[in-house]
Amino acid sequence: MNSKRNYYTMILIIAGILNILGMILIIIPVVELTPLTLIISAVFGGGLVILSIAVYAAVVTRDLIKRGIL
Amino acid sequence: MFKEIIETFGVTASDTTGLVKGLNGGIVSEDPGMRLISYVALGLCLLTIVLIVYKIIFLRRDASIGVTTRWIFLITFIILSPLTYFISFGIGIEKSKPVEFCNSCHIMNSHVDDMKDPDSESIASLHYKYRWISDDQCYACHSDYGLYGAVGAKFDGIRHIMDYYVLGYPKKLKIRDTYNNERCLFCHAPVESYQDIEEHQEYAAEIKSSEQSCFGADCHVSPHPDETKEIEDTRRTK
Repeated sequence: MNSKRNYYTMILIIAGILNILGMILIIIPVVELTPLTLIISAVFGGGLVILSIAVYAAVVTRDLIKRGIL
Repeated sequence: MFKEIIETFGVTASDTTGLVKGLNGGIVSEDPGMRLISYVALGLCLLTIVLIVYKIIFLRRDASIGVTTRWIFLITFIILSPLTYFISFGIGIEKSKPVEFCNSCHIMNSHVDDMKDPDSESIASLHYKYRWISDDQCYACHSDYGLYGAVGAKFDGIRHIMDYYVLGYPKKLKIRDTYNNERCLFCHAPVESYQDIEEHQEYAAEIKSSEQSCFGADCHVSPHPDETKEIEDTRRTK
């Protein structure tokens, strides 16, 4: 039971790290705008943030199902 | 004539755009509103990172996830992150409008050089040197009017950047789709001198639907001279 909780906590941590990486990429063109930084921000930064949100949403959904809310 | 005038005033054609040299349009932007939004984006980004890092450290110490942690994750993942992305993307879109941004890809150099050439008689150059379009001349003619026009132009721009860096681009540049004459008509159609031209009346429907191009066919000269279309560097060309 506890190991499962740790497993999902670990997944949340991974989602957090993905989000931080995405944030760093997203903010680059605000500091230095070039075509390359713009596409890195829009494509890769956005992609990482979407991925992190998807992972987070999956963990939350699974938690809500387990609690019988969904 | 125009060259003599600007030499008299001691400025070059490129200076007349009022743009800050270089591409650094980040927090050093001269527009106070844009600078404020940039700082907001930076602040949101920093807040998101700090909250996540703090909570990650917290989660490592204690495996249980409390209500506060859940709320913080909800706010950072669902609100702060997307908000930062959209603000940053909006800033990127707004700051990628100037000519200098387009000119930062070397395949555009010949087009921009011609546009800024006081002796050039191309349509782009005439619009530039006589200030018929005051700023962001590339963007003004290569984006449709309205909200979707701006968004569409920027998605086209992202595709161009992807082509430039990853996919490759054709050696001879040409416009992807039929040029939308509405971009010309938005300014020119209401003008009396435009309406007085017999051909404009005769082919009004064709011109409006872009079936008939404004360029060539004894109408108007090319917006960009053909000789500038050949790209010397073929490293990434298809």
